[in-house]
Amino acid sequence: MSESRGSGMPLRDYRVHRYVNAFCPLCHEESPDRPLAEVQRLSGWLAVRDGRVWLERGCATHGLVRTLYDESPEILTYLEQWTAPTKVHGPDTTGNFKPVPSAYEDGLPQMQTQHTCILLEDLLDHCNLKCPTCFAESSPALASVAPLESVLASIDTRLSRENGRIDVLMLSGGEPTLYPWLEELLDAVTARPIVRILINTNGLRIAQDDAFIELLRRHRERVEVYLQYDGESAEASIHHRGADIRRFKERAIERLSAAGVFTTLTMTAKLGVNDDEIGHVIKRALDTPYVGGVTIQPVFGSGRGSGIDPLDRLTHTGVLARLEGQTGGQVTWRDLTALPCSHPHCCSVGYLLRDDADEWRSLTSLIGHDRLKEWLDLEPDLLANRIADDTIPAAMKSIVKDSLLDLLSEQSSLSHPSMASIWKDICANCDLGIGTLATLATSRLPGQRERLRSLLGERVLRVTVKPFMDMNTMIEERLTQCCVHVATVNAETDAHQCAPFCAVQAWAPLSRTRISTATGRPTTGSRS
Amino acid sequence: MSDPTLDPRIVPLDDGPPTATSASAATPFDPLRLCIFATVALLGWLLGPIALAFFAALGAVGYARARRAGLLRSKCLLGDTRIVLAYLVGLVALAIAALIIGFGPWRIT
Repeated sequence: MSESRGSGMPLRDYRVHRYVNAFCPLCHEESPDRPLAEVQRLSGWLAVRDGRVWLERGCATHGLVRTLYDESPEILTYLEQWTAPTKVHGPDTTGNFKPVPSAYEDGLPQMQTQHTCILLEDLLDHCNLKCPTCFAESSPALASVAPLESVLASIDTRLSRENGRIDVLMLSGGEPTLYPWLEELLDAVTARPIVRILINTNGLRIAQDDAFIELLRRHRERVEVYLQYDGESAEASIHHRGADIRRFKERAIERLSAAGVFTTLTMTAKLGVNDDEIGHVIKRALDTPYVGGVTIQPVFGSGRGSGIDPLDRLTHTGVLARLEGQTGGQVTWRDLTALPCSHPHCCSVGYLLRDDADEWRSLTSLIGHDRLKEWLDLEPDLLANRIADDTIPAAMKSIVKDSLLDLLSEQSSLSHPSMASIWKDICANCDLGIGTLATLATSRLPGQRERLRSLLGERVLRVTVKPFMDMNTMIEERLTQCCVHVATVNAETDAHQCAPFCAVQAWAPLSRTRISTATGRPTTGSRS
Repeated sequence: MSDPTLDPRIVPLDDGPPTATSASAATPFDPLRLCIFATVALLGWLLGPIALAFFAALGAVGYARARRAGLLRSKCLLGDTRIVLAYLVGLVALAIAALIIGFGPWRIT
């Protein structure tokens, strides 16, 4: 007896890029306040289909839910090559093996795989703007201000869990420049073992208050400004900030540059609003002394952020793909690498250096991808194969590797105190053709530090792309390896702790434990 | 299970992971492109340089936007989107010249 043979099973119309645990955005929107213990972790995958990367997860209530994760599988795969070992962390509660996200109710859990690179302290919920896309939902109507002693207690708790050193402290909010005790806070934190302090601001006070500029100038060796700057168009300003406040931004940049305060322009970019202004922001930074960095953040849907099409949005790799077309080829996605210490999907970074011929060149183009990986020890096989023609002595290699890892880390910025030695090692040992930098970095002449600072301010630019996750793009592994931690307060014990940034912004029960909301009290209105 | 028409993020079952039913019921090939090619040829025959100017300008605008949005290489044989743009702009110029001077296989009578 013969049986007819069928055609067999067809191939899927997608390729699984990697398997992930994710969450259902529809369940989240139906009940954003649900207790974290009731949040379901769902099986899913990143699927490459039609030249894009989609996050697909199976929800018992809604079935298969598909959202756009990233625009370019090619660039995402490239980024995944850049991973390095992570640092040990100190859990906030010993024995906390609860699942994500409920584990974060008790701070960093045992299963976190990265320490705190950046500690973000929300000083207050109050702001002098009511930005339509604010993830923290701050506004002038909110008056909750964290007491100075609570902020310092939170910082000291973190210091005790980070072996006596915090790499980066970011002061945020709300609008941190409106914090009534900011001067006392800056004095207190600069007296602690904190490498760098960043102030995350809209720039309104910087544009108008001479005394405040003086305060920043006084602390400029340790303090850097992250200035929200969304591009050149009035449309971008109105969309993201609710008004055309470009003149304040321009004035703030001029005043910070004149005061020699290292500034990073932080751009919130949205598809169809200002995704064509990324090149402008980079050029503005290249042309302005002491604007040492640009951070491009694709808008994400936590907090007040809404109106994002989850099936067609600007993503990490989308920003990278747009660089070449918008900078006339001056910067391309190959000039950036993933930040080796973080999850490769979470951040990419690149350095541009102006050489003695006045041309901007990237660190990766000067060193070469293969050599960079070799120095970072990311490709042991490649290293083994090149032992014979390796021209860098082993001791030098170790120094260069550590320097590069420092440079390509969340803690890095041009005002970092160890920058001189980092550039010295890289410039002197790697023959980058950056003669003046190398000479200055290796010289020990009087006034060398100030000259190096000014040279870095004019001739080095750090470009980063930082895509934060909302529930449409949230995957567990990125939370687990997150190193940007928001200070929170335990709802039951009042203990100071912290939790990954994207988790705090996305889940309301965690958001309510931010230090400004949990310990905040109405301000008296007096500024001391 | 919610109504799949409510939210575009919810994937209908026949568009999701293949099931035994959807696998065995393979859709016959739809030769749509052949119909499109014939229609484009018809328009070219009827309208000549006007059709060329229209489609080349449309293509140039489309490629300019795509390049601005980050497309550096196209699946087009010419590869680099700058070369494709130059080709399309050239076609527009050719079509305008043909309309003004009246050369080529098509004439305004």
